[in-house]
Amino acid sequence: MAKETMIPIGPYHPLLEEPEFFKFYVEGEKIVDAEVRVGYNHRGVEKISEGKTFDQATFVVERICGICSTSHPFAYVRAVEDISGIVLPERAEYIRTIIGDLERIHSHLLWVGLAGHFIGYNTVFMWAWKYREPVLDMFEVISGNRNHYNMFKVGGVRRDIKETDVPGLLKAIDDVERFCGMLLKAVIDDPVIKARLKNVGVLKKEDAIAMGVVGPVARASGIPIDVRKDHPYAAYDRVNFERIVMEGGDVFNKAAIRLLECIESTKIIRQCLKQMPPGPIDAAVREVGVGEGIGQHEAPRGECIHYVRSNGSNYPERHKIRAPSFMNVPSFKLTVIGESIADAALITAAVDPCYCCTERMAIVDRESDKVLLTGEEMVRLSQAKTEKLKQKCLY
Amino acid sequence: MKLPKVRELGEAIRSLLSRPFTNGYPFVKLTPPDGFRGKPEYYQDDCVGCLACYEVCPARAISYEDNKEAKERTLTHRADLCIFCQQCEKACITEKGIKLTKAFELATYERKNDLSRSKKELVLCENCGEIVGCLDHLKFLAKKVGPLLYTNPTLLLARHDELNLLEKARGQASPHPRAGHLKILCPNCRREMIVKEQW
Repeated sequence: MAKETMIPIGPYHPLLEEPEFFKFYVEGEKIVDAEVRVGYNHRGVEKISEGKTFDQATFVVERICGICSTSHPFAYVRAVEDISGIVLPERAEYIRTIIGDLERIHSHLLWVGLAGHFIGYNTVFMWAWKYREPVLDMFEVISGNRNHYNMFKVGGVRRDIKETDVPGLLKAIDDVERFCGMLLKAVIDDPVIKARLKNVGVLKKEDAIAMGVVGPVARASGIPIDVRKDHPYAAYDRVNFERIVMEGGDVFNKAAIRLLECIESTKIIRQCLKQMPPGPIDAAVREVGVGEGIGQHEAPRGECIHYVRSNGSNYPERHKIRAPSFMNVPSFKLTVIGESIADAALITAAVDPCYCCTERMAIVDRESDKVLLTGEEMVRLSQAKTEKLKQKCLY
Repeated sequence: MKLPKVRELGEAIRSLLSRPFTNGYPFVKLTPPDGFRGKPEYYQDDCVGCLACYEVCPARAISYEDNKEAKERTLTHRADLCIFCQQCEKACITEKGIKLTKAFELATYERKNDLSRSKKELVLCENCGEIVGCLDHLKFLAKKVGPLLYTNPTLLLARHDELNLLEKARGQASPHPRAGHLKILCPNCRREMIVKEQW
């Protein structure tokens, strides 16, 4: 029997977002067992939120995640509005939809770029981030910041989308749509990418149901769940868009789903800008009643749930948060086993947990605890495999 | 095999012929768009020291200190704790006291020294020495409430102070047992004065 080696992967640095820890047991090149641990970075967000007023807590939950910084406030304000049945002005609902889907575009493009980087296609990385940039610029124009938009408040939104911002926004999403279409065809046609992504890290449908995965990871495995369609909220019931579902569950499907969702999001935004009625953007909520409420939002990574209980005071009595990555990360245990080390970086990145996790990996020999490979070398290994495939496919 | 390469070649040629997508940032100054949320600054002349910004700040970046001897209140905004959420600007009762600027190059060697301050004169209760509020705050309220001003002696006196009528009013009323009415008092002392008033 080949000597079994343990590969620990994971950041211990508390500054990084969503630290996770993986131990991969390998025999030669093949991964035979995986261990996933989460909960390394307890920031006490739920407790901090209970010490803030209902209005201030939106800023706390916004800072849970830097990439999808709208999904948490979106779910949180919906939970608070659920407590006393606050009805929003129509324009506020449309603005919420636009912000939510603009964020989906920029988050998915970020992932596409990183996936390209992991398999050694740095051109994809540069292009994807180039088209992501105008989206962030539009965020800066609309909300005043590239990230942490501060747009959401209980009972409405904090800023209006001005008439003068609309042409720039339309141009940015037109570019994104064109780019996603181009990249999608390129991904489907390219034999190297196909060889690299197809049938790699397969998550079967029954496994996906058993693990309870959400979002694009679940939809890539053929589970048609999408909060925007299942329980329509904001203006999602007033716009036409497709629910993208694919069978297969490999990395290729996960990539294709994200690109197709970007295109759907551009459609949603275009319809919202067209249908958006003038009017107030804030319901001017004076007080939150007694009770409990649940808010969901289809974040770029899946369903994000917030639970808020109020005792009639100014502060939430209990605030529970369930982020989508919490459900998606354990699926590594099923997808990674049987694959080679060169694919491990890609498979763990495919559920879009957080790129920082995969950048700080190291391969350690089980006997001597000596570091054999660092995270950068793992990525290089992955890129070298693509080079090898390129030689085989193209020449 | 051939077709996708042509398609990607189009994008490559377009990128080759266009100007670099990045900009030479440290050498070329960036101007943020209107409405950009940069570092907040106090404006001494328009701030009235009402502490509305201190109340709403989710990051607790704003603190205040009252110095009763010097009759001075100092509001301090710490840029290193600030999350640029614009709540202070929105809560400001004068709408001009604290405003977000477009400054975004905030790197500094000593984070704790990156402060913005507003110093306001305090009004103390003439009876017990407790803090009533900032003089500018009382004057602002006096102007805001209009004729209702005459229902609140503290506000009225603050306004008189502005018109240099305070000494005159006091001089006339001082021997009278109801002189307490013409004193700037904290809410507690005013209640006590009214309850215990002797006719």
